[in-house]
Amino acid sequence: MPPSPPPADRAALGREKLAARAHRASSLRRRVVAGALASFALAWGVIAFNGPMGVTTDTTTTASTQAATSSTEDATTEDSTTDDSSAAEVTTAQL
Amino acid sequence: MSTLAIALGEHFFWITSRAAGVAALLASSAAVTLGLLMGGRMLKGRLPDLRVTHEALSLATIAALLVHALALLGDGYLSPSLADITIPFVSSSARFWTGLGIVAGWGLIILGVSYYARARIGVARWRRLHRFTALAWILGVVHGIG
Repeated sequence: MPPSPPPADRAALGREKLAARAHRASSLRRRVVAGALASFALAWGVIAFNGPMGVTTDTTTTASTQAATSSTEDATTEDSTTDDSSAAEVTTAQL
Repeated sequence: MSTLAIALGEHFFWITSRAAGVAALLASSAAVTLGLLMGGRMLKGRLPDLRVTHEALSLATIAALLVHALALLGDGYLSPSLADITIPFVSSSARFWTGLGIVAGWGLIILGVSYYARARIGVARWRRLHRFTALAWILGVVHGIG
């Protein structure tokens, strides 16, 4: 059985162990806080990029573009029965 | 860039709330998983370190939940009242899912903070109560999906 260290050494050893544990705990807390902040920032960026209500921005833009295109086409088709100058006017006005 | 500019304007609080909700969901998932693994003696690490991590994750969850709820107060579109974000099933917007989230949020906050009163509650009773955290977390996940 190894000889036990004198009381003064044991106290110093205990203090060292407590200090090491406190240091480890503080490092773990810092890592958790950093992870939480990073996930918040990442989520913020993704939501802001995709649009606040989900991936709707692109769809809306595409849908409105398609609608504008089709209405322009309709107008052009309708006006093809009339003379060419009025068809050109409608198409230009809708653009 | 223009999307970000718009986001910084009228949608700032809404995006902040949703991002905080995501952060709360991630932190609570990690905290609950760690807690279950610790309780089931399935982790062979240093118990004090695991406990510190579990506690830090729980506090991060509570902080994120507070931001998730309070940021909504600044949203100009929904403009909810304090009652809408604190009392379950009062909000007129998505009443069921919001109500579920409020119940989950209160559950996670109360059960998390009760750790600091476990001597008063009684350790055995607190341990039994603490198991309901997993249920509150499941409600939170359902709220997130809804």
